[in-house]
Amino acid sequence: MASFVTEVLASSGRLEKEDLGTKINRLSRRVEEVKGEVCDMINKKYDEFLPSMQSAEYLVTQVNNLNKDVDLLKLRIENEVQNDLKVAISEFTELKQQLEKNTIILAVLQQLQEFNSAIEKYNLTLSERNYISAAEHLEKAQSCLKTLKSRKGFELQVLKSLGIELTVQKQNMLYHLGEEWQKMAVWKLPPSKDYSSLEMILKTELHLCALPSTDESRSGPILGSVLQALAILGELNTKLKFFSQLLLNYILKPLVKYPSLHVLVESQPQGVIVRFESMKTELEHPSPPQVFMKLKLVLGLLHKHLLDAPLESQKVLEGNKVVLAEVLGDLIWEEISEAIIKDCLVYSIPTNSSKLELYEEVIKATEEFENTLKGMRYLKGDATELLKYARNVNAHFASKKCQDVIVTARNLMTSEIHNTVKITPESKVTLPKLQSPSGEKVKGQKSPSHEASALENEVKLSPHTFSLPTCRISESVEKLMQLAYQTLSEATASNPPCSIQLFYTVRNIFHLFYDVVPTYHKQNLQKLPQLSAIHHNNCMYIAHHLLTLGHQFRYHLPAPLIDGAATFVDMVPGFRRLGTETFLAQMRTQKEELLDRLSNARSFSNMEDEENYNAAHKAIRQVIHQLSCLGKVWQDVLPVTLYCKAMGTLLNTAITEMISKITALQDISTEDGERLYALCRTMVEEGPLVFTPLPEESKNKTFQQEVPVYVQKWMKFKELMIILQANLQEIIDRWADGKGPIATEFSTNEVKNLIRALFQNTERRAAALARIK
Amino acid sequence: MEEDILTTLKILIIGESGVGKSRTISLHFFNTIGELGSVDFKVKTISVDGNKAKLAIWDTAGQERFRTLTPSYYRGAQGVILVYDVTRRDTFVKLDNWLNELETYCTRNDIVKMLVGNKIDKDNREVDRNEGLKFARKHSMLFIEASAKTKDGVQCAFEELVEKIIQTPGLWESESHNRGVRLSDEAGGRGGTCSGYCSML
Repeated sequence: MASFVTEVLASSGRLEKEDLGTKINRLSRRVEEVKGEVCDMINKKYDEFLPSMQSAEYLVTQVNNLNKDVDLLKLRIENEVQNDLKVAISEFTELKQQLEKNTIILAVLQQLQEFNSAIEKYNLTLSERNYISAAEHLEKAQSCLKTLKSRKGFELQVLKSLGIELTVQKQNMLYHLGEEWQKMAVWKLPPSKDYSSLEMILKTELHLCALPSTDESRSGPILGSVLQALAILGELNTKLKFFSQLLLNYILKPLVKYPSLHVLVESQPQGVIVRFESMKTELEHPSPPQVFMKLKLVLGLLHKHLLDAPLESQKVLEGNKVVLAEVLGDLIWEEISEAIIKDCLVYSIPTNSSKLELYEEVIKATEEFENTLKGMRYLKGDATELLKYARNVNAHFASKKCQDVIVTARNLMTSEIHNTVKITPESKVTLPKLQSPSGEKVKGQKSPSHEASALENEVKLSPHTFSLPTCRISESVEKLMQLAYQTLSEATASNPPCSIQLFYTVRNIFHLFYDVVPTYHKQNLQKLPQLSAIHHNNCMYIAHHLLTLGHQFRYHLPAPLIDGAATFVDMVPGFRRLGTETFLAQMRTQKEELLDRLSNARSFSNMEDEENYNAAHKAIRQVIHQLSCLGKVWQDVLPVTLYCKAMGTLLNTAITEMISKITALQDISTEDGERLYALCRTMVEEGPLVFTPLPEESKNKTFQQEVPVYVQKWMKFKELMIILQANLQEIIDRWADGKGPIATEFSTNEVKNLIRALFQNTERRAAALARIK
Repeated sequence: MEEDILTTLKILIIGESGVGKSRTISLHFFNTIGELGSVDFKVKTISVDGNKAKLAIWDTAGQERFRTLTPSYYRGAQGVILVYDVTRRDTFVKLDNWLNELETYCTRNDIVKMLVGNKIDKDNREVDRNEGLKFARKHSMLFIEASAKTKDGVQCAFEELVEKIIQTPGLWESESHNRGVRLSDEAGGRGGTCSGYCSML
């Protein structure tokens, strides 16, 4: 209505001349309609709704009452029914439990009965010596007992005694079976436990009886049945283990170990007897094919008489088929294969590569042996330890060879140094002949030589230009070098992995030398000058060979050696250093000794004094003596040039010491001068005589004349002697304004000092001193 | 008497063993024979064109047998007399070696050289005079032939040599400045068959 008023107002607002009449009519009509609706509404509410409401409420109270009655009734019924139900349930449960109990008892009784019958049958069959079924029955009884025992909360006294009974019966059966077994395989063993000696082993016998001792008709499967029964009882392994141990220790291993042992098989009606006989043989270790043959014989025998028989009867038996040979094989194979490798195959590996091809035979024999064993079912199809070992012969060969080489080398190194051989440029290590790597290369080398001849220098190098000078080296070192050459030529003839191993073994020899020799001979090398000289030569000799050793073999070795890895040149400096260090240490020792002796000469002062002179004289004699001793021990040992250098250096040390002592003197009287001159003359006369590099006395003269060349201060020493005896004018003349010999040997201060010591302070001396500048 | 001396000159006498160095030359000057194994050395004053020079004469006295003379022998020499034996061709052939050694050890390169062919009084001459002359020219050396009987020739030779040295002023005046760098006094140059053998001492 409000909207309507609004509408009206809006329209009036616009002052439009509309028909107000129609609008008012419409309004009143509307009012009438509303009035009717309101009346209708009021009527409905008060006339119709309220009375029905009242009746409905009444009905609700009535339903509620009824409900209460129903509940009450239900409760009562429930109480009564439930009481009855409980009683019924408990009755049923009881009945059920009783039923179950009865069933169980019945089952137990049945099992007990089964057990009983099993035991009875067992007893019966055992007395009939039907071991297989006896064992089966026993097994059955045991399983019965096991099921019985597995029931919990159900302990019967009888079970315990049944258990005991079962154990007794089982032991009884085992005893019987053992008896039978012992009758069939009888060992006669040597009395002592020691089965390492051949005589003891010879007394071993094994009797195998395929037939039972008593003559019964069904003798055939008895052996099989015994073993089978043992298998069923689970005792087969222990029995066979014992048997296999005996077999291994008394038969198989001795056969592998002693080449003289042979198997003797004696057939008897009841079976066979295996015993040994000894046949003389020169072999230290048996050859593999022979060993294989013997082993095959024994194992074949066992197979035939002991293990093969039950096989057929087993086929009848379903399920647990046991291949006895397999069981035995499992037990012995590991040990016997080890023994074969250790005592037989190892020694059969050749020490020389040339014999390597012959080894093919051994490989074949090994394969055959393994195949035979597989045929007898001792071995499973995949066991090939022996063959693998034999096929790997190259590797074994290399390891063995390398081991041998290193051991030999070490023995050489620890042997005496002082057994020597003379090496001259003419002496050569006999080089193994090597094939040229390829024909083409040789041609390639030859063709340029024709052209080169035109360019060739007419002056040729001496054939000994690059050779080691004549000297003495240890015999052992020469052998060591030969060993290295041999091993390398062996390497060139071997297959690649082997030859690489051999090559590095040679390198190891030298590494070993470097470490072992200076350590092992340490004391002697320090103490004995001759040994240090020989050791020096040894090192130089090795270094000399190492220079070319790699090149000689390089093209015959496999990659990567052929590509330049085959070298020993890297070791050369080390060896030279080793040699020089040892020798220089010796030189130092000798030098110290010389200086020590000269220190007793009381600085050569006051030679007028008889005692001083004697001391100095003695010191000089000692020096000469020491030098001549050294000259003797180094004679023919050191190369001549080195000998002269060494002796020269030592003599130089002595005279340098004398020069420095004498030039340092403050005062030299005429008498002093004469005595000093006499001492120096002793040195000059006898010093050269210690130069005896060669054993032939006559040839040493040249070296003694050449002493000034080896002794650096020789001229200075001689000039000193001249000064000791000269007058002032003579000294000035020999100085010759710095152009004379004194000037080349002495400094101005030294000469001035000597002049002051020798001459009294006069004008002439002052004039002379002034000339020295 | 010392004051009027112009200079002291170092003169070497070299050549193969037995060519008569000491005999022919030293004997004429000093009337002594050198001792084997040491450098024989004599001083002699000589007058050339009114100039007095003192000669410090070094004779090897047999040292050449030991293949090499010590470098100190050559050091500072201003003149050298090379001697060969005309009756032995090998001593003439070896002159090359001596020249070589001289060049190696001499501290200066303008050293004055004189070649002496010795023992011309002997009958069995093997080296012709012209040959010697040719060799001397080739190496720009003075040349004479001499014998035990030609003392004057030797005297002449010395005078000629000294004259030549004095005429080369740089040789004797600035001797102390011209030495250059000396690396080592005792550089041992001993050859021989040293192969892989270590030289250690």
